[in-house]
Amino acid sequence: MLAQQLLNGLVLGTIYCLFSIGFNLIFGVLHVINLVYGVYFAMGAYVALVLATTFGLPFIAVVPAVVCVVGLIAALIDWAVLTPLKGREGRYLASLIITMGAALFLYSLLGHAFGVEARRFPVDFGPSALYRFGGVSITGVQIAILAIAPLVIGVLAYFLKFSRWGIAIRAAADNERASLIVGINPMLITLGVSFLAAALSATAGMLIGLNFNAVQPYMGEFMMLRGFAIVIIGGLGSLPGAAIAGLALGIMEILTSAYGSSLYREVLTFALLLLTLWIFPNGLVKQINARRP
Amino acid sequence: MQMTKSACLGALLMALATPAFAADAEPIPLGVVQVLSGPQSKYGANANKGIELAAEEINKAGGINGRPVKLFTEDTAGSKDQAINAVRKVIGQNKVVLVIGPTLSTEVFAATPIANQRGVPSIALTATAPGIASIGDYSFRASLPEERLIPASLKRAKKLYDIKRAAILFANDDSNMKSSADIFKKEAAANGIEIVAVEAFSSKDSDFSAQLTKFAGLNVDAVLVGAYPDAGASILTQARRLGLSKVRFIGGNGFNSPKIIELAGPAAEGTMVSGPWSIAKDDDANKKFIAAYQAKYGEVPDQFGAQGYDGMNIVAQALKDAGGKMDSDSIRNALQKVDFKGVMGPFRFDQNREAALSDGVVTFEVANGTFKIVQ
Repeated sequence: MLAQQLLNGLVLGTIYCLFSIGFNLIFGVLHVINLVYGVYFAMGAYVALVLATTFGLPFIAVVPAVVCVVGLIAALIDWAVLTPLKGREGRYLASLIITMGAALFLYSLLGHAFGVEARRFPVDFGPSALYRFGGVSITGVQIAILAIAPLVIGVLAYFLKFSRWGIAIRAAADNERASLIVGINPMLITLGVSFLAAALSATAGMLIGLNFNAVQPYMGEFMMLRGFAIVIIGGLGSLPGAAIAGLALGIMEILTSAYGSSLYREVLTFALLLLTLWIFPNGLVKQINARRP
Repeated sequence: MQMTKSACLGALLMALATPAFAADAEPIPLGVVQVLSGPQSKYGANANKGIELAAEEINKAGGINGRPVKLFTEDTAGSKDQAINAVRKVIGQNKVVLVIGPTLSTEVFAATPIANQRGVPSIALTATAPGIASIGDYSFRASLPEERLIPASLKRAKKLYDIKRAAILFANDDSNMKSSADIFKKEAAANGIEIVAVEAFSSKDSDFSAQLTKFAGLNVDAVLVGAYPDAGASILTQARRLGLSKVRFIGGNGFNSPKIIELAGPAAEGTMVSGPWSIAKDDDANKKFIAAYQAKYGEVPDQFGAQGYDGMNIVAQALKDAGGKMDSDSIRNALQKVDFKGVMGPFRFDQNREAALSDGVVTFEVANGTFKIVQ
């Protein structure tokens, strides 16, 4: 029982983790709150669905295709939506409002294109086998989630830490003006960050759509609520913070349902959010890792 | 120019398609308030399709006592506030004599009191939570409340499969599903089924693994589910994966849709639900309705479409009975006395403005990918 519940929590936490890292990446580098981010989550699931049903691509080809397609669409949308905000006063509030409008528009568009009813993947799509170890059952999709997510996060971490582009992105996050002075193209940074973040969001959406076998236009809205809670608990702009908070929250939600009551599952999440805001306004994880000035 | 031409042509075609009403035949204005956009639009949109189909047929057949019906349709987007505004608008601006809707129980509780205050009769076609008709003297409800459907499911499940221990799983942010859970609890006790766990989720959740793993550990015979088809299908697929393969799933009203089979596929096998209507009922009225619906919309109707269709016809029957009188009390009294037979079976209202008859209730079990009626 406990082992199965921990596995359930780990799978959910991994998805939260993927999603929140991307959300925080946008916030940390571009200094905007991008509500369209949730749309990319749903879009990832839909693109995977179309590739699987209409084009009959196998799972192994769908994953990279989703990353590229949604990443490019996101770069385009974010460029159109966020560019006018460059260098303006009060960017946070303006970004919140403009991306909220864009997100509502895009959700409705998805609803019109695919219908608001949940859609599901073909039965034979993806790793559909079921494995049992003692009392624990694990599906192929869950194994894929536990394999793909760390891989994606690892590649991202490596990219940000060591590659020329990654260093440029971190520089822009650290000090936008200084990064301009040393000749980093802000437009390319915006596009690159949108691409990377949307790739994470889309991967998470595709995997959760596959795992729970339901794809809906509004699945991103629900995820955004969790995403907000996670990045605040983990610390706005902190990638390790988002990763740790995402994982922890997923496991905690499952354990609350399992040993307390599922009636309190969301209560816990948002109580934690409130507590964090009261006691550690910079975020729980960030607080622990805080650098001394 | 081209536009004007085609508009004229369109008008001409429409004039040809509808029978010529007398020149002074003023249309009867009816308000239709349904969820037509957003995540819950599937219920309201399908009900609306049924309503529009029936209205079209009524007008084609010469209208009501020589007057056509004219529908003023408003979207609530599933929100209480918009439902309130919609009801205000159709009553205030369009001067409707009756309001059909809203779709969801939560909306009805918010918006119907306004129609009632202004003395405009209203009829809810799809809402199933208890207490809707008691909003006021002018508020009617044609849908069978779940209190009448769930007992049928539990009785038949108990008889056929000897259910002893059950768990309840429901969406706790939806008043409809919350009331399903309460009714399940009450009716399980009445049928000698022990409820060993009550778990909840939020409507937009897609992860039910924790709750289901818990049920697996409790060795339940059945899980009683209050969920709409999308969440319901996810529950069924995840349950089969987590090893609840022998557990019988019994749904509330939300499960009575072909969507549940379409979405859950083989995982839906054995699922039970009761409903006021079935696509498998093969009386002539039902067959005719299904054919007409398919011809108009290119898809088969679901329960909501049938409820919309019957609802519009019940209203038409009452308006016909009221003669030429279109004041609130004449319509109210005519509705109270209406005697109608529709695709869902015989229909009339009881003293409390609720559906009086439950002869039409059928219990289904999913077998080989379709709803089969069980006795």
